[in-house]
Amino acid sequence: MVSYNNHVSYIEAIREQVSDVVVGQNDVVERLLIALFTSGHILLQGVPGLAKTLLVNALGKAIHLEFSRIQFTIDLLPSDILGSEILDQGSGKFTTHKGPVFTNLLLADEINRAAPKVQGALLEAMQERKVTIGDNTYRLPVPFLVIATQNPIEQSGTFELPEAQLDRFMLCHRLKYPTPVEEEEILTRNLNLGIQKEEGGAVANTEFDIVSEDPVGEAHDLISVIDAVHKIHVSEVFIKHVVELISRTRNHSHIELGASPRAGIALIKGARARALIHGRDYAIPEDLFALAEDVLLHRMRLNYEALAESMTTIDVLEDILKTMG
Amino acid sequence: MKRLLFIAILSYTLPALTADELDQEAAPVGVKIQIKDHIIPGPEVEAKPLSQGSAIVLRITSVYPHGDGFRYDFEYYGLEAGSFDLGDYLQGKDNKPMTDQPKLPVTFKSSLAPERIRPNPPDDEKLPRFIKYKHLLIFGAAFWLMGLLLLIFGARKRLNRKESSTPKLLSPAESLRPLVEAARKGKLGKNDQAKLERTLIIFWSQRLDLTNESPSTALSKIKAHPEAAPLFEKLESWFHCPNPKEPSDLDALLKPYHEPKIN
Repeated sequence: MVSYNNHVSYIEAIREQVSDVVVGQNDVVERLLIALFTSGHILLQGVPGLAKTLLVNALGKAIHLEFSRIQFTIDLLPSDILGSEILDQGSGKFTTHKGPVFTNLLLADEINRAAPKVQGALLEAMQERKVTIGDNTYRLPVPFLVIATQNPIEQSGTFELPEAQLDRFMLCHRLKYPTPVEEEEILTRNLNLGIQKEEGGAVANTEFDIVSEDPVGEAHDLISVIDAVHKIHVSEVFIKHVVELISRTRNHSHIELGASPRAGIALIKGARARALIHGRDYAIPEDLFALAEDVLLHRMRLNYEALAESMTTIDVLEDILKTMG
Repeated sequence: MKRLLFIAILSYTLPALTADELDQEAAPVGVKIQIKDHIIPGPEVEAKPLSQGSAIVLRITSVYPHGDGFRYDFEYYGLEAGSFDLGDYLQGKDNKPMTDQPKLPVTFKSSLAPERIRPNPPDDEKLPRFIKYKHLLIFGAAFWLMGLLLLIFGARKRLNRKESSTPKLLSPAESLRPLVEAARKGKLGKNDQAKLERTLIIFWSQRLDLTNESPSTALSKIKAHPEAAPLFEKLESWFHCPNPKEPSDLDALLKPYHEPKIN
């Protein structure tokens, strides 16, 4: 029998360590943990300056995971992410140089700025969890979580991810601005960051400098949590709720493209992880309602009539959830 | 005798050589004709300005010096049928007097009969007397209006027919009644259990006036409500727990929802 109290305290410790650096953003931390525990990937949509990189950095260090960041740009090549074979002039042989994708936590910053072939290369690695360089195929480290970001405002010079590729992200979370209280806390903490003096010079500290290097727990704690998530009970009634919700997205008069079966799987997996985070050993409708937006919105496409009426996917999803009798 | 014959032939052909245009075939009226490299001795000449009664339109396209005279390229066309002299349409350049007016006879023929100088008047195609243009406009407008009305009322009728054929949506209270009845009788299947739980969420969100909240927030508030919380807790442990147990007080729990009223 799994001791859920230990898992809850482990998760709470991670959240606490992250909150030492990042103020608020509890929902994002929860979604990141859900993605990590269920081996999913997450797309964060938000304007710059919402501490996305800091959050991922803090989370990576708290869980004792290797962390890499790739800033996606128009001139990025697939080999810049995956790696390539380099000729060693001394031995006359090719040696493999593994790219930044060989990590546990990969932050793909502004994924929509890269050309589609680069996005495709990363998304393929995300799905298959292995990379082919030259004639050799390499498995990616475990766990492997991609946290991609995109700016929803600035669209010029970007390549929008098509629905088929968006579907590979288990969750797509829309970051919100902090509340006034949280904002005040951010500013107050920033005042007290101080400076660091080294080699006869001085530089002002940033939030990255105060991220604790000490991880919470050990690798087996994470494995234990991942294992526990897979033991969370999902009732037949809960599955019926999920099927009803998915089928309503497909039959709604304002939706052209409804949620895929992969969305249903993601809902169940996410609900299991959320149940564990909240100290339950079974999923309930509250988990479904909490995750519906992040799991379904990026998988739905409105039809022309809905767009003509200035409706948004969130309006339609809320309508479905409110009338799902 | 031979000499006399030669002089006679020469005297007959020489004027013909100097005025070669005389032998030209009559050109149709309005068709442009060109004469290249025609030499006129003496000072330079130019075309007279076109006047009201001009029978020919003459232009000098090029002029080249040639000995003590000039070589000209002419372009002309006739406006009337008949024989004319192009020399009549030339004048000395800068109103200088011409030493000797050249002879350039030309003939134009007309496609019309000799007495006809104007083309036929257009046919006067009038509408029948009983249809006027105004009537046509009124008829067209009425036809267009009829079509529009037909479209509007036809579409509305079809929409009404469609609306009447769709089943009337039940209110949460109406949907709850049969489900609660089945639950109290112990005849609630898994599908109905799911439906009962969802309908109760809608029922409570309407009762607590949470319809404007996001579904997730609404559910959290419902579960925090002192009256709704025990119901949902018991339903969750019945429907979702690994070892589900039907609540012992199910009848009492669901009694308020048998004849529910939304406040």
